[in-house]
Amino acid sequence: MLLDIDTLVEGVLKDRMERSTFHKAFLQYGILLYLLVMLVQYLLGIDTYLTLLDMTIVKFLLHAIILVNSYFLINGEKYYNENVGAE
Amino acid sequence: MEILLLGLIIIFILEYNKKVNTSKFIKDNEHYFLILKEDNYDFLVKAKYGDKVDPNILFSQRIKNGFITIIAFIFMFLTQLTFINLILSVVLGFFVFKMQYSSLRSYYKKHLHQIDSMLPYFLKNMEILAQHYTIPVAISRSIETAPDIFKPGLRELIEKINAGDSTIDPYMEFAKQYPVSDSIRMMRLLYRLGLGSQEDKHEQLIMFSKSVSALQNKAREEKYKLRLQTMESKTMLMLGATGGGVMVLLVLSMVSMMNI
Repeated sequence: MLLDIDTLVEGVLKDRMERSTFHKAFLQYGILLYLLVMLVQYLLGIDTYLTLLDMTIVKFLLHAIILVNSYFLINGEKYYNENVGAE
Repeated sequence: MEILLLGLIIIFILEYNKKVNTSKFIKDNEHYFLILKEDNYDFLVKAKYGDKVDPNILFSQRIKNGFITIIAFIFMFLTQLTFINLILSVVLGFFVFKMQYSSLRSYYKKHLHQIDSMLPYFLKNMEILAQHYTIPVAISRSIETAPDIFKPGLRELIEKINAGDSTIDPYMEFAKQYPVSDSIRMMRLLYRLGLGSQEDKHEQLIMFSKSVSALQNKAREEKYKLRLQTMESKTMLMLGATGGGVMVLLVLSMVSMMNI
């Protein structure tokens, strides 16, 4: 019985540590992806970027990227926080 | 479109007046269609619906649906009936035919997974009860607190034991009803625990509880692994979707710059 509890505690702790590293990486990736959009702006130069913005498809694509990224971030965050499971 | 409607109406009228009978057509040619039947189809149907449903009737229903799809699509393409359209309708019919099978199979997989994850909890409960009661009493006491998925099986098991069957058969039937790798082993252990005299019981109980602990550990590890995998796939999906979108944006900008 005591051995049981030992392995249980060990397992839970290990899982918690793994999950927190995963979580951190997840958040970093999510924010990096926002920065990627800024990087595109920088790479293209302001003038070309502004001319590109006149195209509807570019506008649509940019909005879609930001929205999809936000959706994934919120969805993932919800998953990380809710599905802990009581032991 | 009009042809399709007309055809449908005519078939419906003929069918309604019993002039043609599609089920009879299928029944007469059954042994040709049996080639199409998957090996484990009967088993999967039994696993989902129990003995209430006849797999053969369900199978002929599947064939009928497939044929109806093929014919409906042929009618739809009737004005531009090319070879590709013909193949397309056959493929679609086959897809409809296979759909039920794949849904049955995915149900079975999910069902097995659920049993696999719930079994250790149930056995832990049994272990505690077995310290105070004899095994049949412990089983009947455990029904209330058992996970829902095991309740019908447990009721059957206890009914058979109460009817005087003291062999291993009721236990094995329970294990067969929940066919995961550990259930047969654990039910056999449980049966032997019930057989032993009171003096040996303590040692056997320790053995039993060790097995349950190992099982529980395994289940927990599996659960954690699965959760981490889900997280990983979520992250990867996010990376793929957003990164891909940015790539497309870059390519688009390059193309437009070339044009300028």
